[in-house]
Amino acid sequence: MSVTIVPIPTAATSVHLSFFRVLRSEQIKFFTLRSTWWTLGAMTLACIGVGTLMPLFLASGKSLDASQTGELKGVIIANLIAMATTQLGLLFMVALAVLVITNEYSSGMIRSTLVAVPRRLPVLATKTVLISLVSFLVTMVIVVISAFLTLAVLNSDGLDANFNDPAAWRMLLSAPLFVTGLALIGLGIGFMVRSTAAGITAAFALIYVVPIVLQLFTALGGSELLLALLPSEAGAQLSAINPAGLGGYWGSLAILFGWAAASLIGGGFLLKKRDA
Amino acid sequence: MIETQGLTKRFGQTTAVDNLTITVQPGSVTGFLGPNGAGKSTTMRIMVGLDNPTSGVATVNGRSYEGHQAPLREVGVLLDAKALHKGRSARAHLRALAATHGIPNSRVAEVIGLTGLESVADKRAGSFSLGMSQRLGIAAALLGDPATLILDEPVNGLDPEGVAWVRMLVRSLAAEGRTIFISSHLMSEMSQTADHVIVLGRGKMLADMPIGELLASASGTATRVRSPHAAEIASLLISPSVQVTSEEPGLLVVKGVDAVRIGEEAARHGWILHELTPITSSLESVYLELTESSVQYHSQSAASANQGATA
Repeated sequence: MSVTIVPIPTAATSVHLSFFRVLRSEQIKFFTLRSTWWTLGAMTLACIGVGTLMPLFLASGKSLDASQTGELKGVIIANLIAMATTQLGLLFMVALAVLVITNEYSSGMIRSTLVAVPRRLPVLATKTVLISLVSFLVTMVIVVISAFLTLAVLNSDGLDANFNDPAAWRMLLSAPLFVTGLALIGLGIGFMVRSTAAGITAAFALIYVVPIVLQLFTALGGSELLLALLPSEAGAQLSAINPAGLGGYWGSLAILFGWAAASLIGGGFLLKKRDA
Repeated sequence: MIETQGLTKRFGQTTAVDNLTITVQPGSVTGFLGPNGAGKSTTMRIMVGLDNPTSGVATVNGRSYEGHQAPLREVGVLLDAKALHKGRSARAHLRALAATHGIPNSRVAEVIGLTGLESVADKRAGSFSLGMSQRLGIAAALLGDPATLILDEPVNGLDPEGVAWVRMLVRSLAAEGRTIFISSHLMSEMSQTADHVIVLGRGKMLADMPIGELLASASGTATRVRSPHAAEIASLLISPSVQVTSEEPGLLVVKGVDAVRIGEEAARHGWILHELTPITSSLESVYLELTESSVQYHSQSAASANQGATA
């Protein structure tokens, strides 16, 4: 048995770290896990299923009627699809975003990752880019497919709805924006807590439990400001016919992604500071 | 070359590494020895930036590990065989690590071949035995064709075939002029591969010298003398600089005077010698002597066995 080491054939200078190379590495890690494909597949099927069913139920219930213009009916359909896709899609995407870092800690992979990228922050930055792209594109594809599928079914039934009003597209766009904002919050939380169970619990507590607590607080006479500052409340304004909340549409978008930035900055700070 | 300067790492009340200043010389195999819990792994983790030192610095070729443009070209690391996701194939794991530095897939195939993983490269790493995981860890360490390798207990838990393979690999890597820093809690492991040893106990450096020097530094070589005139020989030799012990009648162990003189003295007095043997300390005994006082988890079995015997 003899062992020979073959040196790298390419010029030594071409072998070094770069942002796009770390991004490529993260992409390989993400798409070479079966759980990624299962999660994205399940998300697509569930969202398209529920997203198309909701307007169909509504049409049979006569909420969409002949007196409305085709444009208004299109906006209502788009709104329903966006809300259904968001509520269901965020379950999958937030969990996936938390897992993309916590599974590195639970498996020990993080040590291999950080030995290759010892400056650490590029790992967080490239995971952020990756999760943003995947979350936005997958959710966008889901709402567009759901929208045209619904339109085709309803119009073949003589509803005569269309997406000519730009408001319909604002509705559809709200789903990928909302889901991506929440996914990035989940990613930052994952970097902070490092454990899958704690990360998923914390992310869903922020999305589902904190709003209930603050609603109680508001009902008891507390200020509505705190509630309006929550990412889930701000995100919901993105698909509202008339965005209320703080600062309207753009204010809501800023609050949602402000949370994402804060969460990622917190994660980055701890990633840099703690022992791996 | 890896250097540490006054390296200290505390975990709460425990000091894992205590003011450690060492230099791992290039082009040699340096054994890093110490009982379990001596701080070897922590030192190695600090060297590649996984742990932050409480104080002091560690540098690789003159700068911090994270300061390098291509860290994987500087140092290849095997810290533990399980630093991977079980659901990913060996090839995907290596490709992901290689991608960070733009290392081509052809090099991934090379290290897979080098470590004998071809037949399992596309299987999930979670299904690997410890031996195969260790090979995969070594494949990852070799990806960047690094001049320096840090290997933490690379043969721990391996079967004899795996141990032999790692030894051969380490020797051939060293023969190519690579710097190898390899830790172990077993001296026997090191005596066959290392040129130089650094012994650590409770985070403190106990020895840092060529392996031959460590042997010579043993607390004096001794001579075993068997003779019907043992008592006379003992009374003749004994002096402040000479130590004579006797475990059974007619047998002496003499320290502080060499076999030649003992033989000459015996001849002068006409005493018969049945045995005159110089005893050199083995590396193992030198190591045990060095670390005796610093073993963190003393075995209680010897003490309780003695109590059982006297009861």
